[in-house]
Amino acid sequence: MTGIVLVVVIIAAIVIGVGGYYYVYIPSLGKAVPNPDTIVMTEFGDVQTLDPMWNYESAGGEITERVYEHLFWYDGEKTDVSPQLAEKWEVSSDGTVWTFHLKKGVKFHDGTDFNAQAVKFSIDSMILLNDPEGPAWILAQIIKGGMRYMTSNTYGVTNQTEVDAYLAEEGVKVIDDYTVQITLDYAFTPFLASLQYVPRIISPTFVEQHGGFKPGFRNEYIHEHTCGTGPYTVVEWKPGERLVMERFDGYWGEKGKVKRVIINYVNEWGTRLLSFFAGECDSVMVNAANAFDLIEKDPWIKNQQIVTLKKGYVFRADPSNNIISGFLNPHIKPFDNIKVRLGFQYAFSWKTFIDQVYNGFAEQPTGLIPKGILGHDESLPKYTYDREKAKQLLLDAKNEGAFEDGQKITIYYNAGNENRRLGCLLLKDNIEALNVGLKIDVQELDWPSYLAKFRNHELPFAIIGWIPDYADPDNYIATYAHSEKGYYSQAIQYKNATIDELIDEAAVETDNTKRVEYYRKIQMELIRQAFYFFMSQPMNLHAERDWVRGNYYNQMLSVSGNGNLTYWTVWKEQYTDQVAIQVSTYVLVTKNR
Amino acid sequence: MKMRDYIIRRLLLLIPVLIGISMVTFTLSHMIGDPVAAYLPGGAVTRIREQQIQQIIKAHHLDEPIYVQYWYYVNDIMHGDWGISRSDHDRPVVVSIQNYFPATFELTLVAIIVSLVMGIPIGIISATKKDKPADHATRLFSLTGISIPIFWFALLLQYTFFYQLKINKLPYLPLEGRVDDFVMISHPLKTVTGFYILDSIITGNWPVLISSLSHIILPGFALAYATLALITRMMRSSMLEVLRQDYITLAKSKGLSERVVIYKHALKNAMIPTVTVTGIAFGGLLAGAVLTETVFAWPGMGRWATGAILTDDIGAIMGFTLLIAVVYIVANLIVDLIYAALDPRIKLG
Repeated sequence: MTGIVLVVVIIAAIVIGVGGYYYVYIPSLGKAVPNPDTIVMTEFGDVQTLDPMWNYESAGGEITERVYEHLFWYDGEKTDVSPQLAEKWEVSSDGTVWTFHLKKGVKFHDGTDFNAQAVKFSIDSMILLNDPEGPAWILAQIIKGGMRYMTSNTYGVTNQTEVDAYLAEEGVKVIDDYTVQITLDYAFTPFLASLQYVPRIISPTFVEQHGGFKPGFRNEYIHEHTCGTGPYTVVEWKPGERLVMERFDGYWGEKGKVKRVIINYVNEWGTRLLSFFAGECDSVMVNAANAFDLIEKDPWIKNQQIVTLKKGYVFRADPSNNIISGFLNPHIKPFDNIKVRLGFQYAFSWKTFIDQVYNGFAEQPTGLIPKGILGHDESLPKYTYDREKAKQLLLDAKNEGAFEDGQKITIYYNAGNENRRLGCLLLKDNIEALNVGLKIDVQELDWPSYLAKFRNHELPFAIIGWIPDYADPDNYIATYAHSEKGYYSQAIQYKNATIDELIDEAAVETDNTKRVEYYRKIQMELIRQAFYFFMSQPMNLHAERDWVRGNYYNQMLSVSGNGNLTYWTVWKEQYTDQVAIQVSTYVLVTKNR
Repeated sequence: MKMRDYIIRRLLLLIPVLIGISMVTFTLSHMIGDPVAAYLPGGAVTRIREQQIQQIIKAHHLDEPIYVQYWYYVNDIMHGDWGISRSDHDRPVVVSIQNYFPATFELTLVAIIVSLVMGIPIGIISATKKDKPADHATRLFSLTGISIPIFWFALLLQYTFFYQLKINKLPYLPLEGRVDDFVMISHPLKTVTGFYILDSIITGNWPVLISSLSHIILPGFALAYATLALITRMMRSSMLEVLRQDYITLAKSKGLSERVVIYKHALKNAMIPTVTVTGIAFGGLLAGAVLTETVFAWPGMGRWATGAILTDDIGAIMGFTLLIAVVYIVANLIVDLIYAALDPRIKLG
């Protein structure tokens, strides 16, 4: 009998729980727009840190990008340099000394004034922290004294000699309260563009009051708490669970429209989808793999037209700034032979890759610089799928002795990376279907082993990707082609003195027409050499409820990189069912932009 | 042996067990590929410069022999430094455990209570009504519980009790999380133990109590179902066996009522196998609530541990393994003590 009593108790508890919940929260069900003064976004992934000197990934960038502000930023949808906390600026004739006049009357969230000291503090502490995972290198590589500090052993220890040496160089100098001067080691045209990303300017008083700054060490308090000059401020962060922001009423510019922003971190797509359909959240993060749970498949695949499956929401696909590529390592046989590399380029079925891996939400890029960024050139040649040509090239290479009949090549991907797995399998199919006596083995590796092979230059083929730090072609080109600055060029040990020279010249050149010409030359050479595959420029997918107003898309913002809302401009508006029906179909126009 | 001595001896046995486990996990996680990977997230790797990698190697003694590294590790553990959880934003492992353990423990506790409170009576009914419709129904029920994939069941619960109810404007259960965001913002909960239900009772925060109770129902039941089914089957078979014993026949022949025979005489003996299963299931639930936690966005240890394993986050893997080992041993100790209480013939020692 006790058992039955317990069952009754449990059932009663459930009834009270449900009933209580319903009783307390029922009022919110009746309204047309749920919680009109709060924006709720449901995302996957997780913020790594809120520390503006350490954060270097998109989930945290979504917060630090707008809670903190920069000297320069983006004006609406445009990707060009637009002043934010800087008002006017001058540059010396040799391009190395930059003087910035700052906005007056700007307040930090703690009520202190924004001024030149805050700019100096934010740049210097980012460089002096020298976090291996952080963005410090972007400025450290060009600001006077930065390079030396970055390359000496300064993370995890305070190397006072090096700190003093850096500060003595006076790379960042306060002229007066609202004027700051930055001296570079050499002229660098993308400098202003890089200031759109770092420094994110933090209140020095706030840091001082909460443990202060120690060179080489992160501050645990700043990791979790923010104090910038932006329109919103973080009030709560429970990692992996939620982040809550509130409007900063003392903001100098256009104030936020809603009082509060909640970001919920939900990794499971099914759960996110139900939450979105039920109106619990206003926007939801979508992967290409899940897109057809929101829109109809056929109209998209056939006509690139978006037809939503249900009423009440809007779905958009916009080009991202992300370039997914692959490399053939020219230092591993048989890829030292250019005919083999060309054969692989012509054998790869580019369209299948995009249709299968991205459900068609991507484009085969033309060159390395994506659409929407200076230097993108539609007239550059693209490799296309051409079986006969590929076969001929590979047979010629075989006759030259590039590889033996029946030779096996093993290519790898890291476990869990579905796109890389599909890419490798597709390449295997494409090559083996040619019957030229080449066999491809695809092997999965755990992440540490994959990384070890990558660092030791042992991967013959790898799929890689690049999301730029700032809106400048240099950020793409140097990464792939510069023998000293480039991450991927070093991975495949690519060295070309002429190319290095061109990249360096392009970085100093101030005339955009000339820069575009330089970048065209470099890209032509990369395409001719055929060791990079430019595989896709994926689209950003975005879904929001139709009561959301005022959202915009900027290709360079990591917030849009996540396909989410520009929370500082959006608001919610009462809607009627008729309106909801009208917006239910949204025809994509961005494809031809 | 006295009960106190027995408990102390069992707890002392923890030490060699923990040394063994830490050695195995430490060696395994340090022998795979490039140990630097443990300190680099997948996304950030492309941005890391060579000299920065050298700094990581130096800071974590990665250039020294493995036994020296292990010695550094043990030394740190002794000083209360369990290392840094790389996959959890470089938090100290101790802090990660503080953050995630209560959520999982609360969920597991609810699941185990649900499965015991429902499983034992259902098992008894099934046994006493053997081969009757009630028995067939419970057997089908437990068969479903064992064979249904937990993530699918969880999605089904969400779809029915959240989505369908909500869009039809009926009372519904919340979709995900431990507590409603808006309730948490309007009635902030002061953390005492980290268990929301307990904390809200202690601090008298009734809106949070109601919200967290309603949030735990679906994940609690989803997690409980498989164990519930197991306990039902266990209870049924052991009850059937006990009911065949002579002393039951004797009790019946004495003219005792069916209720007294089952609940006074048979239940205690039939409980022993169930208690064993519960002890094992508890450890399993605690370590294996991953799927339920993922579907319900429950901020527990499952997600943390999976993330740690996928990114070879050594600090977190070690911390998690050690913690689970301790919990497992303690749970089984409690099971042994319950044995003694149920059956005085069982000697401790």
